[in-house]
Amino acid sequence: MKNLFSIRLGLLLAAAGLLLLFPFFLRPYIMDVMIMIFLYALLANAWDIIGGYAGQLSLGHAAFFGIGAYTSTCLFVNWGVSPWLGMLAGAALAALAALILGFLCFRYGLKGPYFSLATLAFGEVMRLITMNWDVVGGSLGILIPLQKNSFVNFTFAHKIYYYYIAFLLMALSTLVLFVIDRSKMGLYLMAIREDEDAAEAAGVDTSRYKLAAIAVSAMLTATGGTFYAQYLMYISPEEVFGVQHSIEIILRPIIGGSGTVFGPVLGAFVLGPLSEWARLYLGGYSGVHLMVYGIIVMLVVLFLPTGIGPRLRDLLVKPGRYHG
Amino acid sequence: MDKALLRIENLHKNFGGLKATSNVSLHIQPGEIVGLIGPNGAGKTTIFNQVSGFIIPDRGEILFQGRPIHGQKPSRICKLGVARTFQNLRPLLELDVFRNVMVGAYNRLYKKEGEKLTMEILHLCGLWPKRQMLAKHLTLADRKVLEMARALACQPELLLLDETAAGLTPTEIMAMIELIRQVRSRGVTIFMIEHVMKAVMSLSDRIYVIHHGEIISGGSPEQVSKDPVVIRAYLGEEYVRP
Repeated sequence: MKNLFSIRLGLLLAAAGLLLLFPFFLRPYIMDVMIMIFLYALLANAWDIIGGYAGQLSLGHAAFFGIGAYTSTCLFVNWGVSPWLGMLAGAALAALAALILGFLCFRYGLKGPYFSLATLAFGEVMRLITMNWDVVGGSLGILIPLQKNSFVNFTFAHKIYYYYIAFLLMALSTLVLFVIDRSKMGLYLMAIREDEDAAEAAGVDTSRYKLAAIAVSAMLTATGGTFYAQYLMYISPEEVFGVQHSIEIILRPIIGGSGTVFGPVLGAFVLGPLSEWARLYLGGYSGVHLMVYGIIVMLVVLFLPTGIGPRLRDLLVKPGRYHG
Repeated sequence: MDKALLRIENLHKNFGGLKATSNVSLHIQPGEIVGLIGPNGAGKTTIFNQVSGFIIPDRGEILFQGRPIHGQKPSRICKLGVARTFQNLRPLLELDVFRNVMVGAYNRLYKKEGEKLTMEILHLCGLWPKRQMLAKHLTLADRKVLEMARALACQPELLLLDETAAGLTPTEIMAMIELIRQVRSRGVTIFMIEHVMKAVMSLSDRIYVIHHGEIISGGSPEQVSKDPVVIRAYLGEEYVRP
């Protein structure tokens, strides 16, 4: 058992080392693909806390992402506040929004599909508000004026800085997931996912733990939003708050294996290149790349319902362990 | 000072026009095993649901260790020392046996001590060899034991057992009776709903009989089984000897 653990740790460190050395040999295009993979791995990790561990399928995580993006960008563009501080402010604001949304949902017992619909509606409301609010740029969005190379301004001439920041965000969020997985909170969230009444009867304050989960999840998601804004230098309601974006966030943990520590990252590394490849080679035929992408996602969901990660683990590490 | 561990006073609960619980008063002393019996639909589980906080009573009081607990959240009531099992078992299907029990252990303990208690309880219940199995792969008998193990891990003063012996084979029932005895010897007071007469008669110090939401009889197993009112409720008028 110890041995297995050290092998896994070794593999993990090797992979991390490889990724850290990687960018020096990469073309900017590939680096861009990698950065987006890291970003979506962060978002997938964040979603996994409430959606995977606690089993509360949020369809509105774009809302938290957007809150992060808009908060830091508005602060930066209007008052020159460093996006790093904006990132913290965005995370705090997203957590607050999540707490209010969660409180209302859990207070009135919205479960399963009803919770999902409420989060979906929340995302749409946020999109419509920003679209019609001129102070934050309305439907045109906000363009971040080009700055000089500066750490404080979160603006860099070379992609490699973004690469490392995104990598760090991914690594940190994975660590958060890892810590939650081993903790009381993780087990409580899993118990809530499996059977809320049984959990409550065993002393789990289900609404409190669900609130904590959605708040942490929203905070991490919001940091991704700030990163996205600073990387692309442009945000619009459609891009950051759109339902499509919520779906993109959810697909990765579900494909990779929701409710696990490494599933979401795995999902990001599988789906990122896949969607990129589909767009590159089939982009000429309008919509075809989305169809192919969709079919592949459907196949995975059909044949690997628990995700790629758990299936791989069963095959490689402990075949049939749970079927004795 | 009230010595009763659990005291229910004039409890009422209506579901629409149905009187599910009607003026129920009862008490349970520390260390006792008390049975709650009655025909199907008599309102037994409804009483459990009110004690454990899943249903809020319309009127009346539920006092645990002298403190009112009605209207509190189930998790809060569990923290105070009342744990329950469910009649329709609720194992955490995708989690292994160890984690199922560990959820309960976190009720009052931190990780290290919780793991120790979980180990101990798994040994006590005979689930230790199956600790790595997912709950969904357990047999019915094992699921029933698991249900009890999780409740036990909450370290309750009062354990509510809802039909733990129902659906088991005679051998499994004997094992369950033995397990319940051992639980009691750990100092846990037990309030149990039971249809299996063998279990309820051999285990209970006292029995309450409930019918149409009302308590119609109470006393030792001996007294209750001879009470004409009970025989009438269970078997019908013609079985009551003059």
